[in-house]
Amino acid sequence: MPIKFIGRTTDFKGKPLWEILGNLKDFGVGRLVIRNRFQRYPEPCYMKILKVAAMPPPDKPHTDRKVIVLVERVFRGLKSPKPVQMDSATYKADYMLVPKDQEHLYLENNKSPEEKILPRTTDLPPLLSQIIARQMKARGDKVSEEPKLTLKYNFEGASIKSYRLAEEGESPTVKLNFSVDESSVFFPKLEETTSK
Amino acid sequence: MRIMNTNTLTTGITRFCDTFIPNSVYTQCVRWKRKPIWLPPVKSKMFRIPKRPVISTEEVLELQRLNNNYRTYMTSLRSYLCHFEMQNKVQLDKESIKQAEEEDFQTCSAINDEWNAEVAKQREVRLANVREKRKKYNLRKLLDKEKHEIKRKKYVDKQIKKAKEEAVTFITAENVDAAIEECLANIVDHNRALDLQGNWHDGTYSPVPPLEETQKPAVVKN
Repeated sequence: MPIKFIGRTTDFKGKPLWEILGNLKDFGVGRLVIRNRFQRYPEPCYMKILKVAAMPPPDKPHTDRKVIVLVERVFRGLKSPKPVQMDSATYKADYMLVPKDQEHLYLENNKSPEEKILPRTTDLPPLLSQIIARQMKARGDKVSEEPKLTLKYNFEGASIKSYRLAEEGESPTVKLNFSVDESSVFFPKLEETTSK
Repeated sequence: MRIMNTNTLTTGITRFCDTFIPNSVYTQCVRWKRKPIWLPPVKSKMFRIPKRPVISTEEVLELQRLNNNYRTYMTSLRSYLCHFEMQNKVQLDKESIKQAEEEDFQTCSAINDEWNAEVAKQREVRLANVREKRKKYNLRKLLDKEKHEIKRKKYVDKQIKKAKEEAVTFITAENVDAAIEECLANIVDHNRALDLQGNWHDGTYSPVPPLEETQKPAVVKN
């Protein structure tokens, strides 16, 4: 009889790290392990085990055990310069061991996220733009071109996600559309409106 | 009357008696239909597993894109407006403030001088009027005083004349003995009364004669 699971579903797929490493020779030192959640990126994400130590068993019953692992982490094609210690996230049942014959798939994957260059400015809201132009005219400034809005980005994950602000005079590779456009799912398409 | 779609559990939460509500026909409790949070799941719902919402990848990406764009734009706009406001603020410069204060003082003092001149004109006119009035008043007072003086003099003269006329009858050092003699000679007896018919009634007691003993010198007594 096949096993039928009852309960809330999860996005995790795999085992906790304790279960994987406990069954391996030398506790899996030198082997590759992947987090299944990170496999959505095209760039390689894997961890190479360097050192393993046990953590005390959990106080509460029916909870997965944790391990302290020192790993060489590669996330989205970027290798961290120092070995990383993993402990608090090791109980998550989301780890998978990479078979030795498939290790080359990860090791030889040299993809890295392509660099995105973001635009520096964009249009102001139409009415505000008019107001500001009028104010500038009233103040006596010469309005040679439309006033532009300087964009402020969140650069917290910029090094990993590989995006940066365009230099002065550089043309951006990413085109951001801030107005309500036809590409939106929620915007009625032209064909649909005409057909109705 | 009873509230529709309720039971004792919900009315217990709403804290009123379900049979005592004036127009309960129109009352429908929307908010407190649910079980209170501290009660465990109902037995019939114990093994019910809420279905996970399935969102297609395109929709997720589109939603993410729209959200990211919206947040980026709003942050940028907010910072732009802040910057704009800061620029439009009057710059607080000590020198300019001092100059502005001085200019303000100059204009104020000019206005004040104008007012002062105006008030001075009015005051001059008013004071001249007052002076004129006082002069007139003083003159009138002087005239009145003169008149009064004349009147008083006349009155005094009259009094003096009268007094001089009366002075003949005065008792002086020369005729004092005669006057005493006369007084002693006809003693007036006031101890009498007049009735309605005009008859005099003399008093029962005769007037007391002057006491001679009292007039005796103190030496005799010793």
